[in-house]
Amino acid sequence: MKYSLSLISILLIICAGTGLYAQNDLPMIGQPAPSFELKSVDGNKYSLAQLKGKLVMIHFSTTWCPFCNAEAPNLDTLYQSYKDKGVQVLVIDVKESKDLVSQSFKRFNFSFPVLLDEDGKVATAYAPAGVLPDLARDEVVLASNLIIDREGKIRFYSLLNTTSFDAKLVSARKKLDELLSKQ
Amino acid sequence: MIFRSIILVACFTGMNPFQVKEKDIVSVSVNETILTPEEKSVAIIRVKVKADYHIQANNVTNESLIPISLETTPNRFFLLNKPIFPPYKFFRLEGTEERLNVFDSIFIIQLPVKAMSTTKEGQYLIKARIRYQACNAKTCLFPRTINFELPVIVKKHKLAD
Repeated sequence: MKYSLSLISILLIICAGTGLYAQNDLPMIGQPAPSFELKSVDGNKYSLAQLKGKLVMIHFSTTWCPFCNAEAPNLDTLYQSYKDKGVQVLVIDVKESKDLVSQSFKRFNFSFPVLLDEDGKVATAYAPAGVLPDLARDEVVLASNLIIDREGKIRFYSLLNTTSFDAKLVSARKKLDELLSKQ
Repeated sequence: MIFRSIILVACFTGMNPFQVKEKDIVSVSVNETILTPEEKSVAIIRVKVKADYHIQANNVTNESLIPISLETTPNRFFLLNKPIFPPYKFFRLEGTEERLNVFDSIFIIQLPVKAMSTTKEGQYLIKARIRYQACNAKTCLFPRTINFELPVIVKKHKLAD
């Protein structure tokens, strides 16, 4: 009996770190954002560390992702609205070549950097534990949006949900307004 | 008792204790195609898309999307024409004016096949692959390729009906 109770306790702890995230719409909230240094399509290096003090919004994307493409124009509009308030928007393209990304994203004329996560390691680092456990970790974050606060902590994490797809980024704007009001 | 505890805890926390690691979102099954030399026929490829997923159709609304494609390895025994896809469904992107052309559930691709006049009687395998890009309600997946073989039997004379 004692043995069974111990086993149940251990399992509860393990599951709390995995299964419960699956039911949470906003995973990793309050956790430090994994650091990264990536090259942009224009060849410049960007790291999360160098953006400390700004609110950083990250969108994980690929050129073929229909939801990412539907959001893209709204992402640039959002950046235009918030860039003078200390908000930096970044697109992180996952596992695609510089040439493809550069060519494909021309049509969006992004005014913010598009970074290349060519081996998918950054995408993997941002995949919440326990969410979509049967998928490769670098697939989980595609089409998701995050907001990282000035101290480098994740304050907003919106994984794709096509049944209530927020193409106009209403929730992200609301969160940015909330974080900016706390200055 | 212990096993029951594991099941109970797993269910309570939303984990599926019997979850099978996902492999392919799409599976393919094919029947043998039987024909005689110079006869035209159609190979039937039955494609099954995993529940709750859709894949981009062969005609996409935007050139950046990855349409389903069926390719075959050329061989000297058969003439293979362009595959014929069924009508697609529409998938509306919530909150936008956009809609996607998609396939889901089960559908059939037809591949016109003709045996060359020089093709001898016997059993043949035509190598084929389907490339697709799938999404479900929670994520979009990297494009995947599924390789398979189409069995073709060439008979000397037409089969009696």
